[in-house]
Amino acid sequence: MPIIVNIDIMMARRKMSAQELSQRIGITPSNLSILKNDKAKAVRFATLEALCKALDCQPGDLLEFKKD
Amino acid sequence: MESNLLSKIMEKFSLTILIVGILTTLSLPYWVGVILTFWDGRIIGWLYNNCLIVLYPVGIIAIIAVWNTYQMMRNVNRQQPFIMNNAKRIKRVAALCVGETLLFFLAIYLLQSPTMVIVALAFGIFSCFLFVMGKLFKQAVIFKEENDLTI
Repeated sequence: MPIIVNIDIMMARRKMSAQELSQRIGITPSNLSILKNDKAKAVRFATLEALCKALDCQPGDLLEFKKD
Repeated sequence: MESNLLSKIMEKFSLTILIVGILTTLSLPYWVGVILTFWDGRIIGWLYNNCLIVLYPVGIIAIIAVWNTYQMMRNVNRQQPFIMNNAKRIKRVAALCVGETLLFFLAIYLLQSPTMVIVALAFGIFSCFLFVMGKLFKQAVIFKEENDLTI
């Protein structure tokens, strides 16, 4: 997939663990892992909004487009 | 709960059919002899041989089809009905039914029995139905996977 999810970079910047982030945004750790490992096929706006709120960032900080 | 019981019964039923099918296919020479003797009172050589030529491949294909059905029922009972493996198995059974159709068309000439047309057509219609079901099932699996991987 040419869309890269940079959640782990933002988590490192905010010094936040996966467990804490999943609790804050209300998704299971396994779903967060799917998102982190670029295995997700789609992200809901609600999840994106929660992620941006929890990590205090913009959607563009979390998602990146890379040409194949 | 009821559907779970039904699918468990279906799994056992398909296993039973599989075992009976294997035993029947292995003992075909005996059974063909018994049936021909029952109908005509004697065994006609060419008819006996042609029956075996038709029924051996029919039996083997049917065993493979029932094996696939049994595996699908096992997947359903493992709470994994919508997986790509099941979609592939439906398609495989449909292809096997096409094989049965061709064999029964061949049987019209080998057994000189026009009634085989009915059996061949039944298998043909069933294979068309299964191909459509396979396509639908595959689409359902794709939708499910997409839904599961939407976070």
